[in-house]
Amino acid sequence: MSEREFELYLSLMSKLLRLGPEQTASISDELRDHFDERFEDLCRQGVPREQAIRQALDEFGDAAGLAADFTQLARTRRRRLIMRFSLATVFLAAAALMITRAVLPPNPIINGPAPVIAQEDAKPVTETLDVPVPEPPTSIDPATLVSAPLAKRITWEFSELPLKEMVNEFAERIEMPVYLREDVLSDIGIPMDEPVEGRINDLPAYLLLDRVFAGLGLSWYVDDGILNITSGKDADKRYTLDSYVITDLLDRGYTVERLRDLTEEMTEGPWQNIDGHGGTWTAVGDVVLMRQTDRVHREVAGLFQALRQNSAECYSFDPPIHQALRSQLDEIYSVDFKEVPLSSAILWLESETGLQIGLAEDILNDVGVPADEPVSLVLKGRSLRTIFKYLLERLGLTVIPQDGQLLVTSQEDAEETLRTVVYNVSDVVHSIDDAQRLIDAIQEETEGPWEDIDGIGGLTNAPIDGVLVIRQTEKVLQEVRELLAAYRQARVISPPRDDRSDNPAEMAKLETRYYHMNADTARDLQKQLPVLVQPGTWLGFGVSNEIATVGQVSMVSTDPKTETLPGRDISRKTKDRKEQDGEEPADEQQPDVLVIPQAVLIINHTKATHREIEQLLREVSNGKITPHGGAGGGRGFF
Amino acid sequence: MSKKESFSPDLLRGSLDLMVLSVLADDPQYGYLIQQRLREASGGRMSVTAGTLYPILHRLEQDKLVKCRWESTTGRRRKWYELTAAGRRQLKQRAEQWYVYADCVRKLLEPAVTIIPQTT
Repeated sequence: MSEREFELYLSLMSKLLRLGPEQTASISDELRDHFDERFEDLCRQGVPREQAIRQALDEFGDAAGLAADFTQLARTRRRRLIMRFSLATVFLAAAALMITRAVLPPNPIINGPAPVIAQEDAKPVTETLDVPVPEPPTSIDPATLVSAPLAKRITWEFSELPLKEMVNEFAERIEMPVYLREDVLSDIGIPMDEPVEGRINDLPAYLLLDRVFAGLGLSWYVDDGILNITSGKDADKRYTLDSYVITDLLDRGYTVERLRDLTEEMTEGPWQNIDGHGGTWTAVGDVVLMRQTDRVHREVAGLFQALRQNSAECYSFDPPIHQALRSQLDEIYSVDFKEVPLSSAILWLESETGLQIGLAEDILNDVGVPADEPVSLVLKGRSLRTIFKYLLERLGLTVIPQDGQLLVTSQEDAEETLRTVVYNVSDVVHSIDDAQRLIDAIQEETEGPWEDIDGIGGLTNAPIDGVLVIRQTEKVLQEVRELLAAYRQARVISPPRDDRSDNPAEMAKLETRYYHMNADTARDLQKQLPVLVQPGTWLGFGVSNEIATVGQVSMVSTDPKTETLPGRDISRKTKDRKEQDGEEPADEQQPDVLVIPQAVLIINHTKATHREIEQLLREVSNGKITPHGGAGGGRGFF
Repeated sequence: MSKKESFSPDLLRGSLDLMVLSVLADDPQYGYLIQQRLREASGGRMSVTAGTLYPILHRLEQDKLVKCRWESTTGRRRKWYELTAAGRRQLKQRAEQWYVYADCVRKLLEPAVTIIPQTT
């Protein structure tokens, strides 16, 4: 029967009905009965099936208008959104029918030839991927980092609700005291009766606040169990002190300095250290004391948690539903939009995919694209990602997962929305060189921009062996994901030559390598290496008669390195250095430039031993072992 | 006016409720049948779309002028409408009023129909 064709229209209309599920079902049943009756009637009159469907549908008129009429009957308040949709919606519904028809059972009444479109649809083009689909990424859910009431899942939809009323009702729903900073809001010109609209469907409550406030320049923070609602600027000034225990991270090989770099690079900030204003960080043993805003505190907590995971790809601060949205973007759909308003096209896609898709209307307005901008696109059997690309790119728009939904926004906005992902690449990265090569490949083979290359944009950091942290846009992170999958696949087919460690003859070959480092470190290592790595195989260090291989290590001084360092660090490091060199720290004046003597260790040994040396050097670099035997990181040795 | 021309929506606006009530005067009907009856009664000139008809039916139901019941005898759920006592009273009252009104309008408009030359 024709019921399935009509479902789309019904689901579209049901979505727009602001009624209870029982009422909605009852209206749907009644309209379905009418549609079937009309369709059968037309078929009996000899109207071709396709035309009968279209005619029966057309007689229903605009789905949005009909929904609005029903809703108005039951409610006095009409939703503003409904009013925006024009007659175009019904053409959309009809277009949808053309597409879904291919999968329907044949017409029981009219046995016409199978339509051409049906044949095309029968073999949808799946976008070919040469690369196996990697495991889905994991994420640290920001809901686990907010107060319990804000993590409570809610379902709520409202429009034209005065801001104050919305805030009060929100407070009641999540049972949390709320303080609305009316004075601050009034200063930025937002009245308490500012009409707001929002919707959320069984997601953590804080996401609703983020969605509603994004367009108003508002923000929220929790202080002493009270939810404060204020301007974004005001929230950015409200610092609190929090402590983080990092013992386990230090045990994994992270140093305090590396963690500090990571935290400052991979979160939104601002940070005093790099921006000249903002949050501060002090490590006291295994505890980090941090002064930051509520939001950045949550980001930092997410980042530390992500570093603790062993996931191949872990978003450090990302609602888990975003992963579902990302994978849904790879699902195959078909569209047939002809001169329909963008908002209607989005509404149709919502209805077809079952996803929540929002329009950042304030941002769209800023870039001169109204919500009713007409769009046209005919694509069959393509991923949702491709459909969005062709639909939105021309308008300077794109779609990103944001606040638990897919958000259609400007490309500029998407480029400013950066996310941090921690990658465990220990399966493909075995040395510092490997890590650097991988970073180079990522920066060269993805669109960027990257700060290392372009001066602005995304950041990469390899804080310890086998871990890569990247902060980039949604688009580039997707490219990184594909690149890593391709690289892993290639490594499976053809392991790198250096990795053929199962070949003993290869690993026993002698090789001379040159290791550049600070002179102090080189001096220490020259003495310690023959004791720490393959003892008994080094010339001048009691070579055992049973071992044929003889290794050699010598040191050559090279040009010193100069570094300009911030004031307090200079004084500390310079003082330490002078004391080590047996000099009195006589000159109390802080030098601007630090001179660091450099040297090269020339080592001739087997490949297997070089590998061990590399490992040792990494551990020294990461602070697990210090050549001086003292505490503290070894940053800057290499 | 050509024979096939539909009635202007302005004409229908004030009388559609009444016509729906009158279609229900004899026996219970469901939406599609009501639509067909209206089309037939007007010789095809009056085409009330589903999008117009159902909100009217629901409003009449809300105003307790019609009542409804669900039946599933045809294999799918079908909603039948019938007049309530209040609906029947309303129909009678408004139909009488409408006759008087139509009479007035006819008298007023008669000269115009004869004066204005007919166009094809």
